[in-house]
Amino acid sequence: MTIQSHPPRHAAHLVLYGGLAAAGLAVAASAVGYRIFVEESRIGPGFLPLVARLLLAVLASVLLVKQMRAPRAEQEPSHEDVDHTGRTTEQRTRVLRRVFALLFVTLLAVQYLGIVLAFGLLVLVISTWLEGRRPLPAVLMSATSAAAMYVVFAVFLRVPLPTGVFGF
Amino acid sequence: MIENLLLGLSTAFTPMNLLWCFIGVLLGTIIGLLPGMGSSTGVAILIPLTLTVEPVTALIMLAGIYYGAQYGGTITSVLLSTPGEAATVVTTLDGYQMARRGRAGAALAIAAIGSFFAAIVSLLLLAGLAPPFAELALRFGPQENLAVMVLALVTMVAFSGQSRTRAAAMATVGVLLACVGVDAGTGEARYTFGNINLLSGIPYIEVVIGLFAVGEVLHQIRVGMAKPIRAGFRDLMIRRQDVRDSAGAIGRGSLLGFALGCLPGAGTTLASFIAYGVEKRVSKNSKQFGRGAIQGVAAPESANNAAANANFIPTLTLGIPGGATTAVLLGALTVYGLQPGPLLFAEEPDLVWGLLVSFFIGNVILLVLNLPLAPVFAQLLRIPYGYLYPIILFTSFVGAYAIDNNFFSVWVVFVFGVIGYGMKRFDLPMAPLVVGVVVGALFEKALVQTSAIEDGNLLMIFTRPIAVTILALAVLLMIGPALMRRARALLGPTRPREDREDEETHV
Repeated sequence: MTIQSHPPRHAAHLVLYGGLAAAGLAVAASAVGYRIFVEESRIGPGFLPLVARLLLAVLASVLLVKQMRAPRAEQEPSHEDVDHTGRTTEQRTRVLRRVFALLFVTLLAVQYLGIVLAFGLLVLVISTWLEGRRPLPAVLMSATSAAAMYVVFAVFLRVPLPTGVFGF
Repeated sequence: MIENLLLGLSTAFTPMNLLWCFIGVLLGTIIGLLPGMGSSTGVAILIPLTLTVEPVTALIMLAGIYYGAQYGGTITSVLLSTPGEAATVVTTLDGYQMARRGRAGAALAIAAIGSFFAAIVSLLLLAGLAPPFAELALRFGPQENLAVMVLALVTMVAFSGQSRTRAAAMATVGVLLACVGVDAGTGEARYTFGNINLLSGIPYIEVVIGLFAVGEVLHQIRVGMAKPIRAGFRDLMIRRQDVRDSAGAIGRGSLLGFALGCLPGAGTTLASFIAYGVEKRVSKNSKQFGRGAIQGVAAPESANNAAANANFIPTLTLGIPGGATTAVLLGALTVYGLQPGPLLFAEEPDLVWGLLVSFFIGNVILLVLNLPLAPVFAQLLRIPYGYLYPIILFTSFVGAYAIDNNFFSVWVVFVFGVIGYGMKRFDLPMAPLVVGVVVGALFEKALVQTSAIEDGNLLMIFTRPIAVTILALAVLLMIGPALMRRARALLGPTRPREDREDEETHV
């Protein structure tokens, strides 16, 4: 069973909208530095950023007020919060954090391993470590996807993909 | 008109031209499947392959890539919520929902049928109206363009249901993102923080890949991965009722797409967003929009195809590209020694009409290829998401790199992937943000030009009849629904507010 996400907390929304409103107002001042008008009253480079930021501040304030007035949603007990793969919310959140971290590490590793190998390894690690696939099918899947990407982008479309120490 | 079409048919219906048209459509579909590899990149990469053939044959193939890529983009938008093309972003909203309900085959089929119908309509309109439309397009100055951009932003916000304020906030954020880079008026760098990659602005294709593809993957992991869809083959086929339900949407989308495609710079993406917005307003099935309405696929798909064809009006008759891909094609024309402009129709009629008729042939090929294949493509959804998402991440990031051969694009995708995930968590609509990013730069350019022409007095825009008409339409879209509700409230009893809220969806 696929579970719907819980509605984000009331406080988180308040922080988001408050942050947007404050950022809109605070950064609007920076637009002035780019000149709002240039010679002959023509629009300068700071005009649109200023107008947009002020508008954002107003809209975020409206959302903030609406959120403050809205009744707090009752948090329902989550005893059935298990998806069709058998993962609980906590487990899913842990997987998500790991995917975030793995993606970040992969992007950093591209300069050493090349883009095809780095992402091929990402597929392998996700498949085995996070998704619990058996090693052989996971290796086959990552090798096939890496080879397909290489053929399509580097060979067929002649995109000069970043290479690493292994030269591909 | 008939002679021109016959001339076009005799040019396009040679075995060589048919073969290259087929190759172009096929390659375009494959290119469209790859995130980031839009039609403009595909056409640019494949121009060298066409240097050995006749100019008309080369153009027929390149045009095939153009609309083939749009259909390819539709396939990934519907099946994986990963738009391969900017013009198919809006298709994810209802197409993906249809796929999750086991109706991916119908969504893909209606996209092919809608595109085919749009090709016929736009071919007839091109044949009959190319010269007067080109003349009308010439009357579109910066003031009118500014009004069109306002209309685009208002349309997206106006059709966001209960989340109008949030949609407006997100559209504003999109416009702000578009402000990053070199200012169109003075050449001054803004908000680049010394990063040379930001001088040309935040690239919107990367933004789209990050928000829709990576953001969706992260969201799916968080909420519990989507179940494999095990719909029967019969359910995957399009039904006669689906076609009947979509007929109006296809007609409206085609006409709207054609009209917008004639405007230089408006492009197919804008056409698809506006067509979706309008359809959401006028459709009898409007409450299903965002939840898997077939009209929400039919309208934008017809619009982007009609706009793609109509883009050739300013390109061929004025030498002004209608969008990014036609800008590349314009370059290709000069490579082949042709001079686009008003005289091209008179001097190279076989080339122009052969090319225009090839749109029709190409779309027939697309329909024949894709209608039976739609349920086959839909089988992709049987694969468990745990297998799919690492591949989606792989394709998205490599595709993003291939746009500019620049690793900065990959980081942009990562950042916007995280932002996209956050937006889904907070139920913030993504489509207005994308429209803001796409329209923002064009909007500012038109604003600066209008200001320069009118000596800083923007109110002079109200002396231009076409601009005033477009702005009036925008105002009507904004306040029309509220006025209607007021009028209904005055005339009769209203339904409880909760009922109305149930009908609204976020896009």
